[in-house]
Amino acid sequence: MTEEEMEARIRRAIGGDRTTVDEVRESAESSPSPRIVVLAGLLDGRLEWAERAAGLASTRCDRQTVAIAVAHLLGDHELVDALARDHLVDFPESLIVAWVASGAKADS
Amino acid sequence: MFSLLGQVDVRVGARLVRVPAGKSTELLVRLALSAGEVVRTDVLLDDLWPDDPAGTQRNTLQSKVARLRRALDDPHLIETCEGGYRLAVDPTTIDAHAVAADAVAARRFHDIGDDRQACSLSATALARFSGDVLAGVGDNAWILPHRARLDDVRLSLLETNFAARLRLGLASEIVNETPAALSRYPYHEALWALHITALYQSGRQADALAAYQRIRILLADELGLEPSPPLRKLEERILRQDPALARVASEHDAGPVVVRSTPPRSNLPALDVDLIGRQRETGEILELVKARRLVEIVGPGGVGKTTLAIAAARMLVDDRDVWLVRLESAATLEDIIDATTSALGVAGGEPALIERLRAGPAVVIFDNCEHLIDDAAAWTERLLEHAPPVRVLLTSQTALDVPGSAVFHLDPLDLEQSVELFLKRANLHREPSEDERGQETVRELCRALDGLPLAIELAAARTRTLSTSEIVRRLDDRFAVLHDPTSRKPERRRALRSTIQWSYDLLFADDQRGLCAIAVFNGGAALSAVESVAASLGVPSSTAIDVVGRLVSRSLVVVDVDSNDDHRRYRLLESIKAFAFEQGRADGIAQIAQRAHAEWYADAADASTSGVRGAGQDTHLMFARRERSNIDTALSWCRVNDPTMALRIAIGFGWAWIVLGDTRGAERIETALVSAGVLATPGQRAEALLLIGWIEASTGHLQPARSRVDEATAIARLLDDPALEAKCAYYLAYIVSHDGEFELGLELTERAAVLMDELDLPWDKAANGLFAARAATSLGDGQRATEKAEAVTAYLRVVDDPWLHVRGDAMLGELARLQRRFDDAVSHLRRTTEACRYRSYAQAEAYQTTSLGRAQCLAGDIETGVATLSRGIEKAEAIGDSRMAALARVHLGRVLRGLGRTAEARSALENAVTWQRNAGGGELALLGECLLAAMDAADGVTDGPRRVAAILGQARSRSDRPVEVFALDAAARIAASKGDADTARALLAEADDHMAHADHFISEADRVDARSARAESSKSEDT
Repeated sequence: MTEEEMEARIRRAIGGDRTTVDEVRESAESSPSPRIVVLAGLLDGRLEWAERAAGLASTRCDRQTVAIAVAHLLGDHELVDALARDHLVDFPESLIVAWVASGAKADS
Repeated sequence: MFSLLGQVDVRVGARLVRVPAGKSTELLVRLALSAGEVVRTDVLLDDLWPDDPAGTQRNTLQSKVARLRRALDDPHLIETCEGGYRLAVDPTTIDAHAVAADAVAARRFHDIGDDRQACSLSATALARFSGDVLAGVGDNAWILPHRARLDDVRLSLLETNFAARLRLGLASEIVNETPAALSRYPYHEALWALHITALYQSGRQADALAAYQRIRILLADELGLEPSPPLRKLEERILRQDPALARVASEHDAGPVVVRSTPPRSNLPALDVDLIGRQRETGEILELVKARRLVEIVGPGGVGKTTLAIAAARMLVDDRDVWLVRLESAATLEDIIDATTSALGVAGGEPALIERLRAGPAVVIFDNCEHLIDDAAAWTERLLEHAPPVRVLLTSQTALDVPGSAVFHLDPLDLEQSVELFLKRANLHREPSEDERGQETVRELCRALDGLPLAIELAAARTRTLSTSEIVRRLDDRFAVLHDPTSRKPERRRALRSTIQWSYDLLFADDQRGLCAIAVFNGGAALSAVESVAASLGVPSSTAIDVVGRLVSRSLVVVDVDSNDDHRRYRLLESIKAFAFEQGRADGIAQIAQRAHAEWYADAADASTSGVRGAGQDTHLMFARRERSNIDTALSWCRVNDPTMALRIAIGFGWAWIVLGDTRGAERIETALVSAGVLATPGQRAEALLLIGWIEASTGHLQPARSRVDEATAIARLLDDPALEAKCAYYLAYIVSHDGEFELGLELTERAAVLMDELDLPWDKAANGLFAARAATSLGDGQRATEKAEAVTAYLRVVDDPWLHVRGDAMLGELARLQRRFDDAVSHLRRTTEACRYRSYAQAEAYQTTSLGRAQCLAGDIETGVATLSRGIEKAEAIGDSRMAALARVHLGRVLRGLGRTAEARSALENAVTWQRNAGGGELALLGECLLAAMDAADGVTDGPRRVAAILGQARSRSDRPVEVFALDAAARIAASKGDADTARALLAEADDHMAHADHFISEADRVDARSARAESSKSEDT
């Protein structure tokens, strides 16, 4: 999957596209992509997937995304707010974090 | 900012860019060296892939450009142009361009007589060079002309810098630096001229003339050239002592020197601290330091004591040395002494340190004394007592109460100063908001933070993403949560702790782990070390640099830059370090980090074992010196948690400690050996014993040293390990030579040679050969000395160890002396001494200085020889080597007696003999006894004749020719004084015969008793 395809997929899932959300959920256990796995964790509120994503993440952007997702799943909204602001300064196009910062509610 | 001169380092704004290694870096440098210009694609392809057919790498080039753009995070920095690419940056932001412009400007300043500007500019530009030019780029052909051009720029800057400083009257400073420049540019006559002039202006006329001879011989031998007319003219001017040449300052120098062109003798952090609101306090501290020898800055954690001390000391560097000694990691008095010697870069222990501090005015800052008040007080008092020119400035949360000290209580910032500090730091990140400009919210925040600068810095570092109101709200919550009315901690400490906790809680998990990783280091660490420990905590190496960068930007980590070599270290302030470590312990990761820390130093120790014996020696020595407190920390942790790793570390750094003259090395190795107990393998045990033995021998403890090597030898035999047994043999040869047992030394080296014959051990063979040559030379055995020297020379062709090469040169000097080529001996030994000084081989320098003094006396320059021998004694004492000092005193006593300076001679000899008797012997012990007995006999001391006779017997039995000569001369004098002219003549004749075999060692000028006996005998004949 190219970077563009990945971005489009994340965008569709966040937008509530049911088919894409299902695809993301189904691939959560096998996908090597930390962003897909963490997104699945956020969509389903499952901390263990976020933890799996933590093991896959190696870039700064991905590791920060996972950390923010974990804070979100743990309900630490103050921390999510602070970390997300930091993250978005360096990675303004980070879809997942922008979504988490706004409450992480899928549109559907 | 593009730094290309050493390893490639790129910053966009404050952000450090991680440039992909290999071709991407090479591409970036290629474009940067032509910054602002289009570099054609076909040129890039030819340059970067010279071996590939034209055009085959075009796609690769495109992908490299794309990677670079991503790394730079700005697609516009590398522009795609018609037929090529262009790096769209201002060339002045690239160090390689900037230094070239600076070189031209500095030269212009010098030409118009503005030497201060010339100094300042050239020094700043030179500081940008570190190591080999463009070292991070590989060796493709395109780079070579750039390297050559930049090397010329560096040379030009050096010339301008030295020339300007000469006119500013700083010759004595320059003579310590020119040797390094000459080793890089050995044939550059203009540099030699500056070196020679600096020596002359420092009052070292003989050294200046010797330097001229060195370049003359070098040019003749290597290039078949004569020195140029200006250099020849310079020699003439020195010979006729041209007064214009001795002038130390030019007509341009209208006032006191205010610019130090090289980093002054100081280790203050290179990065300037932007001090806010402490002008009055700085002035008061300065006045106190001028008036009192000990000033204590006392105040709570985070109040800015260190910053203030550094700011005040920075204003003193122009007229005195300033040394910052951080004590946060010290736990004992020995640690404090270690930290002090390390900060001053002194090899050896306390005596060396005191010697250095006696040399001139200096301020020593002891920072963070609160946890070892008694030890710090004791050490400070010792320093002040033994080194009168020293002043001490120390920082502590509690006063040390040393008698006579001035205590300065540092209060937090007042509200206005706090606001100023906050706004200044906050403005680093963004423009202040309207709310902040109104300042009420900021005032509220600063009040909450009690005016503690560290707390304000931590809060301000968050303004990048949080408004001041949000910070106030979040901190208020935090203070409410943490407020504990029952706490006995002062309010300020709780405010600081809460702010640190708050700052910590807002970090990403990787950053928190990174903080814990840095917290296990003592005195900070280089990035690679932090990366390694952070990796053990699950922070990928690829992200560690970002982690550190974020921690720096949040004021949690301090960057220290060594102004001498631009080395960067990342360090935590003490209060943050304590917090981070405590947090790491609570999270269960501190122990993991400590193990990773120890493993990092164990790996470095493994690399040091062979590395320190090779061409990369300087790097390994610098590492061992710079990381001393971290190595001690690792050893300390390992002793409890992993004793075998402790032994691995101690053995690995053992040779580095030997070369550095770090006498605590023996104690470290022994402690590790004891901790390891039965876990140590026999091989490790033997290695450890050998290293301990060597260090003990080098500090004059010969008997325990022999016992260690004997035990190691027994192990080697048990293991049937010829390489180890050979090593034991030549280590023992080294030790017994200190006792003057040169025949035994030769036997041992012969044995080692046989054991190693079939083995591929060139370093050991070279070292063994050196000891053999030295023993043969000391025995006066010219044939064997020559054979050994030839063998050593052959081994040294394949061994790149500078330490061995310096000793090889010394060996040639000793051989020249043995062959009565005294001028050659002086030349070799002078070069050796300078090399030792340049490389900080303290012990070898002391020894070779003594050898040089002896050779100068034999060459007829006795006054210079006496001065050099005295210097040798000072150097030996400075490193705590009393054995070597005694050896030098025997030589000095001999020569002084020859000059008729009898009282001084007696003093030197008595001092030496007393030490040798107490130590149970030593090299030249019999000679010292003989000379003293001869003097006593001449003075009519009753047992003088008996002692002379006994010593003559011993000398004969050992075939010790020099002692035989002196004893026979003394006996002849005794006989002559009794009117027995025949016996006197017979004894003198025998002495003269022996003199033919000893005149490489002593000269006719030394034979005071022979002259007296002859005169007395003549008188008898006349009557």
